[in-house]
Amino acid sequence: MKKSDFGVVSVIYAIGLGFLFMTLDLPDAAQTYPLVLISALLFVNTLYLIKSLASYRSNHQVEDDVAHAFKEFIPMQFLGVAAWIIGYLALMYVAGYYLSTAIFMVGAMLFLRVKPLHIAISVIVIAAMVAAVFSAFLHVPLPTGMFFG
Amino acid sequence: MKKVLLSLAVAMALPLSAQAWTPQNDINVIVAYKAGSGTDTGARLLSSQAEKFIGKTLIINNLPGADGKIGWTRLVQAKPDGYTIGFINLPTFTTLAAQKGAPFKTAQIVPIANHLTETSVIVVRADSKIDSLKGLVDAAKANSKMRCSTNGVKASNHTAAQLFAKSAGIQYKAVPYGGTADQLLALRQGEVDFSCAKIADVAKLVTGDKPELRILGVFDKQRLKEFPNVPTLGEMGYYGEWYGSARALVAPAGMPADVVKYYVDTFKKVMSDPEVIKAHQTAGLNLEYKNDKELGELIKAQEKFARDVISTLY
Amino acid sequence: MLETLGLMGAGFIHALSPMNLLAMVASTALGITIGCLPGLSAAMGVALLLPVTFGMDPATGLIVLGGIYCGAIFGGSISAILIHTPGTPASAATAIEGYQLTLKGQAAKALSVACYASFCGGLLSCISLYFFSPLLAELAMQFKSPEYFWLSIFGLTIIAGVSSRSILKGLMSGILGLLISTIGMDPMEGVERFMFGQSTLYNGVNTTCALIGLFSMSQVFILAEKKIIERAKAAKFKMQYGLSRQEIKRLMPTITRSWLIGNILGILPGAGATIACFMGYNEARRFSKHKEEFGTGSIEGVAGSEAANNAVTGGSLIPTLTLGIPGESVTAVLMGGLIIHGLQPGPELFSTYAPMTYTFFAGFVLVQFAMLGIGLWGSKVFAQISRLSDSILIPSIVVLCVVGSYAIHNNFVEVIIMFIFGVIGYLVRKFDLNAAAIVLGLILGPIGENGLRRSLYLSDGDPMILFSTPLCWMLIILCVVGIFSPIIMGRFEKRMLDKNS
Repeated sequence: MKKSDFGVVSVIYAIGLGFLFMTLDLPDAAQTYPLVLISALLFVNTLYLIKSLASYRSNHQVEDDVAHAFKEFIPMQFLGVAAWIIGYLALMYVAGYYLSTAIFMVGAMLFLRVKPLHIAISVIVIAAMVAAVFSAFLHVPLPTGMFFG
Repeated sequence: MKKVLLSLAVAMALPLSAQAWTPQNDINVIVAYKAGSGTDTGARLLSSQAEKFIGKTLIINNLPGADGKIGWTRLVQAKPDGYTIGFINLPTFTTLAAQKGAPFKTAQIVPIANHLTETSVIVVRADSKIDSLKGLVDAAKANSKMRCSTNGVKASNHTAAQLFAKSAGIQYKAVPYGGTADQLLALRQGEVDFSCAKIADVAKLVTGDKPELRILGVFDKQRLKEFPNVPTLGEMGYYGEWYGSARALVAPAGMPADVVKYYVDTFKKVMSDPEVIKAHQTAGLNLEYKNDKELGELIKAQEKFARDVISTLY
Repeated sequence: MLETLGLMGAGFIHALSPMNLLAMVASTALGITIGCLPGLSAAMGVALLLPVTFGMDPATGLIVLGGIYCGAIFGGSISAILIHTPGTPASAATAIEGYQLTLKGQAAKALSVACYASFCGGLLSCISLYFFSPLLAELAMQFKSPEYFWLSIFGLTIIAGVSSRSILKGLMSGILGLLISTIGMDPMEGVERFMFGQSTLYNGVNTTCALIGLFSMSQVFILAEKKIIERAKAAKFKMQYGLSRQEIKRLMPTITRSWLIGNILGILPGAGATIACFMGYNEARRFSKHKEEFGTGSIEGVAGSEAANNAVTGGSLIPTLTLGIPGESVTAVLMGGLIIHGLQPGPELFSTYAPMTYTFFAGFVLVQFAMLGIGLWGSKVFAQISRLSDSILIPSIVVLCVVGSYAIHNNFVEVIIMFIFGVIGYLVRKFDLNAAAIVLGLILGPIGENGLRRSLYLSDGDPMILFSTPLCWMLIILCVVGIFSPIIMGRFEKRMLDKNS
């Protein structure tokens, strides 16, 4: 049995029940297929729970896979990167693609302690590549923000 | 008094027209169907021809899904600055707009021009025992579960089948597929018994040495030039009006009048150009230009059709 | 017969004209570039370049589109291998083994294996194009709703293959994928399911979006959580990229198998390169004599996936050109291009327009060689990317993910969806669920659902329709074999070992 098992099983039950709730709003004919899938999910989930408990019964061991998975986890670095990414998406909605990309890349790389020269080269290379392939050549429009572009 | 007002208007119009709007950037063209589909092919052909007249790139943006709802919702939400236009299908557009809670209304678009007109036909496999409309009706009366493939629930080809069925007083099973290509494949494979499609979709399948399909009837007031032996539904006593798809170019409402005028004039030039006409013929597309006013009337007529006929159809 | 051979030969001569050669090289290079950028799919590349071909001679125009198609399908493996980001959905399975090889410093080798395998898969699929078109086209016509249902079931048995440790968790992931695929419009009833009021979700969650999120964005989170090692990576890097004769010999059975899988999947409308790459990968694993390598970097895994997805290219042309039924989304666009040139798919292409068609086929063959050349040369260059520090890769991958998911439909909501799947992917990988299984469920879900529900609707609810044709039975047998063969083969091997010891 693994330490994460209860967590995983609960989340899957939650997802299954959430979908079940939404399914009941659908007209009858449209309910059948989702219900089949939801039952299958809950069934397999329960099987997994049973298997987990059975293996615990037989060898009374709880493998701490959570610790193993998060060994060497550096919270500050992880959260910092995550924050920068969320900030990037928010910024892009307002400021458009190129500006927010430049800010994000410079900021995130400074946060990750990249040498300024490398930062400059990377930003230029990526910006040039995106501009060349997406904009100039393929004419794929890129997000233009609400205020800038 | 009138004269004064008139000369004032002219005096104001002169400087305005001296600076007629022309696009400074690339133009976004929304096509609400997937790449490679019938609507898309026509749209790409027209756009590539139009680029020569406009001088800027027309970028096709395929936004397929929900029988056009996704693409058209984006179209009416787009900024009416002259850089987004799109293709709509009639009557599908007006049918969807007439539904309760529809994400767009016909008032939210301004017409530019009509591009293609595709008339609906009823087809069966060439090796089918059914060789006439009456034969189909008799077969359906004997077996109320005859299968008809459609391009989606309540999509254009489903509507055609319903119009026929109601006017002939028959029951049938409408089997939805993902689009016209899929629905015709199902017919060719023999998974269903008959189908309704547009003439351009089946043109090459019903001609030649070994045609795969056979046209039983056409939804028009007169017979088709290319198929004089095919009766109209009206002749046989069934639905007597024209039905099909019109593919038209529109823009989001709120676009300044001079911008709309630019597009109206430009596309008039494009669709009158002999090279463009020839290109459409080569591709087997039925070019039928209507200007913005005529298109506006067509949209109104289709709206009425959607309200009065289609809402009672299903 | 002789006349046809003559036409084929003439085709090669025309294909070797300077204009066509230039078209081949340029379009293949462009295709590889489009393919290796996440979010730009092969179909998008072909659609975007379609207008450029309008002014060209039809044969040249088709060769350009063919070059982009093949190049893009190969190009996807580059980013899949280097940064665990499939450049196109068709390289999703390549990422599994390819990235592990990169971590071991063998990026160059992985890239050249992918290149050789893609080349072989594409070239061999041309054989079917030349000689077996009528037969395979007929096979395509036999696949109706029940057959597609069983095909999707067979596809789902792959989940057992990609589930590294816990089959139950793999199954959960697969069913989760199936459930997510129900988001959108119900195909038979036309009602909205689970859409949270978002019009973007009318067509369901976009596969490319989910793929970018599950594989690439999650990779960013995984890179971000641990200390960034810089020197160790560079030290282990091996520049050797050629394949030894022994390795080629070892890969030949895998490549042949994947070619057949990809070729046949290619001719079926609706089953595309993505399913092929997973099937190729799975079969490579099933028949491999070095199963222990899978999961830690197996060149057979890379070859199995890449040969299959490139074999789809030739296969998908068959129903497109002979019957006017697109074998895949890319060929649907190609067909649109044909129609605009006034060429209708069908027997005409092989009679009246035969010279053009055979020039195109010849060009398609030569494009494979262009791909091999450019790909191998590119391997040397691209492999250097694997030496970049993670601190540079993290923001760069994010930027590419964002632009890629936006470029699909110019819709910012899809960027958000990609991000959500990134979070899901991260959690999935942390807790030993299976991202590949979710993707499989997502892709196969609509095929299976449509097949099942439409079959039952056609038969008025009678399930016997699912067992009604010989082809259905063949597929059912394949499914059964697929599920039970690992068990049977395991026992067989054990018995052999017991006998020998």
